[in-house]
Amino acid sequence: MNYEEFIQELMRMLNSALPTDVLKSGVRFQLTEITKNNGIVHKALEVVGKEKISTPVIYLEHFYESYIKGISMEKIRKSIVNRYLEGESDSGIDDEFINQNIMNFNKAREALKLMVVSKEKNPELLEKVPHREMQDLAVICYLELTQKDATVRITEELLAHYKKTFDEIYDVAYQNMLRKGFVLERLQNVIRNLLYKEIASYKHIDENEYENLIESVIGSQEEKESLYYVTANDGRCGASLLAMPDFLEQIAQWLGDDLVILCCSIYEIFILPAVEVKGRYENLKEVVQYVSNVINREEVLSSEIYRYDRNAKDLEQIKVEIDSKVQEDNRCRR
Amino acid sequence: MDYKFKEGLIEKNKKKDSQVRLVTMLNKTKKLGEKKK
Repeated sequence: MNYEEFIQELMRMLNSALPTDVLKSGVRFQLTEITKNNGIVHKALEVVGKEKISTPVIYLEHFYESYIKGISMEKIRKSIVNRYLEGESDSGIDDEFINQNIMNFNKAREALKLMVVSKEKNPELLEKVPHREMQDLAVICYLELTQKDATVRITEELLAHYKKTFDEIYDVAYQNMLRKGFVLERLQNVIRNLLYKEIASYKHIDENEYENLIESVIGSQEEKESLYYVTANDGRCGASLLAMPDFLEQIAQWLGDDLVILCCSIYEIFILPAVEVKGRYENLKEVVQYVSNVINREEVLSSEIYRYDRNAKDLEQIKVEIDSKVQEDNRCRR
Repeated sequence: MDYKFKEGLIEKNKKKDSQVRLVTMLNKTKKLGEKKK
């Protein structure tokens, strides 16, 4: 069975296994499509007909992979029903949670944050989600539900429910992020700490071996790379700092230079003082294209380079053309 | 698993694979620096 046939068969099995009284009440599994960041569309199942505010959405790619590996359709059906029941009972995301934390603006406002996404890769999303444009990017607002490790984009429907304008919501999100500040650290140090945590679990490695292993990945402590990792202090989508001129200005003052900014993913930005770049924009563009092509497609932000001019207090995209063969090589990594 | 409601979608966070992304970024920029020298 191909993916489409698998879905049809699964739907038939799921709905025919529902008890008659449940079917009569109008409750059934239904196929839906969910569009994620960068226009990535996933087929999923939802349950309709229940008198509830929300329904769990069960993505199907993973189940199709199980089927390809030889798991029977009946086992998959049972597993989906169990997943649905767990989603309803164990997650704590129920009507009460939604009413208190999402629909109630006085509570939701504390969770408002900014997220930067690609304008080019999200035309459909940006039709439904209010946003501000910034170069080839768009800034949207979202709720960061840390207690459930989840996020909710602010849609036109939520804005209407809150009876707020997008500018009002944007200002609250901006102020929330401003209050929490940002993290700026040499990328080498960030990786060093990540690797220490990872390697510390291997008890048979002694301290010298630690250092050798880490040096083999990031270089010695004496080699000071001038690439900085910057992310929001609180908030998952750290690349939103691009939309925060207050922070960019502080960083530029601290580094004493204009900033060259790379933002391959939605999670963080990388900054080089302009003096370090010495016009090597083509080379940097190769780097961002390469990295954008090896990370998860839903996490990609931009393959472009940006420059923050500290005197003009202005962010602009640097237009750079790179060799078409290099571009093709990078694309092939997908 | 995510949750759909009338006004939007609650998206459960996926695990960030920071290590691969950060190490790739550092190594690629280092290599460019070496090429230049």
